Amino acid sequence: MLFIIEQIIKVISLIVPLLAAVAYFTLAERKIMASMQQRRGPNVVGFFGLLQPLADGLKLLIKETVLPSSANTVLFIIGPIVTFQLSIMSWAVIPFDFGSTFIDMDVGVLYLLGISSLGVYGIITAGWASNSKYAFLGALRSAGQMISYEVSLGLIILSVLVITNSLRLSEIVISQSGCWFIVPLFPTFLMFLISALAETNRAPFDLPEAEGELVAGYNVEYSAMGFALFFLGEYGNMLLISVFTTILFLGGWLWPFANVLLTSFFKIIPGYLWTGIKVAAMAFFFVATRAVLPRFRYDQLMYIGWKVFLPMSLGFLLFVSGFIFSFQLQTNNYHYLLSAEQIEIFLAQHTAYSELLFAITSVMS
Amino acid sequence: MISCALFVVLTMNTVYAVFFLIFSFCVASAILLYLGFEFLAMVFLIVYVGAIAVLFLFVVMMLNIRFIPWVKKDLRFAPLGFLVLAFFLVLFLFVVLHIESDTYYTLTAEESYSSASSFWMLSAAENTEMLGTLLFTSYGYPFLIAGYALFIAMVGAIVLTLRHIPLPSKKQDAFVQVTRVLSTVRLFYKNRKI
Repeated sequence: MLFIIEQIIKVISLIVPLLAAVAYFTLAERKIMASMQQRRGPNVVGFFGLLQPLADGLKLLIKETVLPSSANTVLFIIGPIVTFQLSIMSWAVIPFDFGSTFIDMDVGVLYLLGISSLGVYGIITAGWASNSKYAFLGALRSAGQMISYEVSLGLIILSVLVITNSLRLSEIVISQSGCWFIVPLFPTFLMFLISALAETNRAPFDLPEAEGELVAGYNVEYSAMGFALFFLGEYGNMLLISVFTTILFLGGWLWPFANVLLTSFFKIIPGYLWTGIKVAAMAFFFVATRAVLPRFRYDQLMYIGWKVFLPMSLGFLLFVSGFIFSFQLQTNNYHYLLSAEQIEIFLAQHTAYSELLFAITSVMS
Repeated sequence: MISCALFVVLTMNTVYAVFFLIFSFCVASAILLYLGFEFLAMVFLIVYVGAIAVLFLFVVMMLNIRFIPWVKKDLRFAPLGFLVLAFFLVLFLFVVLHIESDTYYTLTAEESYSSASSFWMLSAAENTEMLGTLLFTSYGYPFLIAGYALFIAMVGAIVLTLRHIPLPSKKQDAFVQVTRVLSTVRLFYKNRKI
């Protein structure tokens, strides 16, 4: 019984801040885009408009839910629920700090990929069940885009996994304690960013929502909470992919420049704040691209996905694995590090990669 | 899982049939997860649910067939289906009876007995590593042959769909468009000075 209560508290303490973060991400997007376009943005509700997301949520909650008469009711209702549910589910494996994760899965990366590939279903269900041409076309576009960019995204992640030699997210972060992967894998980092934009249906790849052609994409027919769930799910996915980028390339909760002098300075900021800073930077990037870049055409999108990113990421994967094989750079796995007392040791003295290795050897001897 | 599979065949709405297929894939993946094969379960989820079933759903949704009544269901292929079912049942029984002699179990036992010092290597992620080791060492040639079979299937699919369009289609080459210089561009306004 106590175990169940503990689990419930854990889940709630993960989901509630997540939803708040998503809500304030929408506000941040409006504010940043406003300042880029030299407007004021929302500034009426609350101090500097800080209560705007709450007002939006309340408005969407008390509006009427409209069920189109020719829609397939069951699937129409299931669609947004599935989208929202999947966008929350994937946060279970994300490590925010050393040891502070809900489940530290062996196959965390695969879990994230699997959940994100399931995300297509919510959209495609909604598009088909609304029984509307705009919604259906938007859903097909969105699904095609997500499937084709998942391939290149998977190959890019593989080139990171070849280095880390583990599918566990916390180990991927730990193996970056010498050097963040953005430095050796900078081209893949750029490709990952662009694929992430396309995967989350964001500008400049927001073709599913192209308001000039399809009115609003797959969520035309949705009103009130159905729309709100789609909205939250989408922005949650965006934050998730920022966290994923942070973990894969920007060294998760680790601070930059792992040398002894700077470490004592950077140690003041705790690890979860480092994660937060990096994720905020990524989220800013997401918003800034929307404000700056125009929309792509659909054939150009597919051209970039299949004919540019796929061969390039495949080639880079071969290059990285060949490099590692020829210079014998394979790292060992750190599964054994993740027991309770070794967490303490790591927290006590993780300053640089060499000192980490020293800690492990001292434990073993 | 069996009830899901039955509903795939029995339901009248084709889209629902595909959704039940997806459910049965998900349940299969959950069974694998319970058996402790995390890697296989996740790959099952990604490949079958995330890629193949989406394509099924695409096709079914675009064909615009909503309801197939019971009367119209074609039962000519039912005996063939039962034959395939019987074949797989026999195969399944065969595997279950011979599972002790499987390489996976012997290898696991050997590793766990021989390397007591590296106990942490077996504590976590062992089946992912084990699968990789097995696929690339003892089952290397079958793995390669499977890869070639898939490759040939892909080439076949491309050959089936490839048609040379006789008319010049209006294609846009982004590279040519970006790299052209002003002197090669044909201008429509000849009188204007540049």
